[in-house]
Amino acid sequence: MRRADEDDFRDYVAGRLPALRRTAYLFCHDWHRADDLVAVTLGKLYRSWSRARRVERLDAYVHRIMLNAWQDEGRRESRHGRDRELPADGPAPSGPDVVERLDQLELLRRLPERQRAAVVLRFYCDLSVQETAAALGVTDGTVKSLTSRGLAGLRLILGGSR
Amino acid sequence: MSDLRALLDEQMGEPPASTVRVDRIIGRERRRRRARVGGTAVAGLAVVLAGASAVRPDGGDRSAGTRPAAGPTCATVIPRFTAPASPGVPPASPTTAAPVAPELPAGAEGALTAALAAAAAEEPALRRLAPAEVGGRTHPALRFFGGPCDQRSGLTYLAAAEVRTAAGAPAGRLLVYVQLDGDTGCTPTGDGGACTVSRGPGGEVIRSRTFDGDVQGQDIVRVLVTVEKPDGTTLQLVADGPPGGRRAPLDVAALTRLGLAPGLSLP
Repeated sequence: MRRADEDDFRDYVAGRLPALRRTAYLFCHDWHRADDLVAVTLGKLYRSWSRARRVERLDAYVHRIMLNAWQDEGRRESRHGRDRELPADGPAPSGPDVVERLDQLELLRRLPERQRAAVVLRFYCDLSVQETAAALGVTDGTVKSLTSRGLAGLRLILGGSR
Repeated sequence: MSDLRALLDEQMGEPPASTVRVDRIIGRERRRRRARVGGTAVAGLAVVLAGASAVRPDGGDRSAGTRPAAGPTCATVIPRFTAPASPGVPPASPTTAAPVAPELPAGAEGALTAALAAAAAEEPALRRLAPAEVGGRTHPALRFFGGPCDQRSGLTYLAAAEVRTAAGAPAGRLLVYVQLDGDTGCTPTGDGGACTVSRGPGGEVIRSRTFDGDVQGQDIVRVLVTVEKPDGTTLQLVADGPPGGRRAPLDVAALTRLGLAPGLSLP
């Protein structure tokens, strides 16, 4: 890779790393795993950087890499007979609004993986329906269905806790 | 849906300090590309063990003080370790290109060896050790020497030993790598079993995983633990069981104890 390209890569990582870590956390709900997932994602991005840097929506491209890496890990764990764990990370928050805040976290954790991925990509990462469909490898209609069910599930959980 | 994003951001709170280091990522990808271009057959773990980034997270070149300015060239070497030999058969020799170590910091091997020996003495499973053959040379048990390295990644030390049971039968092999800012190799897309991540008492990042099955053509159990220390030292500890055996000589807890041993740090 040329020096200028590598500098561009470093600039991109420096600017987007916090957001990428947060997105990864929403997938796996563990900061250690999130960092590993981001590292894998950036490694793959580095390999394709000369092409990727010309992509119109680079963030969407990167989120797709991240999602694939996360799904790969899930398949690998399944092959080894392990269910993907969603460990608690750090102490539970406290305060007067703890019930509602915990609901927001638990909502996402409890969604099936594909619904969770669709909701995160669509509404946290601001991917379009088409981009989310491409990332998930499904049709636009399936994305709409996944996000609709995901959001409905959220509302049910939230409603039930109040 | 900006409300949802705001809620999720609030719930996540302030993230812990990132362990993602772009220099490591770039260094790893460069090594991967060189290995591919060179046509070297690389096993997944071997890539991990190949080297370490010498560039510190703060951007400083930590190795600058220890690496000779115009010293011997450190060849790109991808080690490919074979599993321990079957009982009664001499240990197989790792298949590596000839490692060419750079000039190493004076005294580092001795200090590391002493620290590892003290920690190993506390492990009942390591009561009986034998020299190990690495890169075509026989090395005293658990004595560090300049191991595989590449020009960018800087220094790597390796200690190895054949582990014996109380009766003297082969129980497997132990490998301990010490690097600066090394790749941990325990990422979501690595080969083998799931990676478990934890924190040590001093803030160390500890990753572990266990393979059970075909490792480079042999049916063995392999336990891998990596320890990233706050001072930049990365240890990779590998315990391979004998071919066909159902256990490695050390488990994750024992390897972790070794990895956290005081003194196992590069200056």
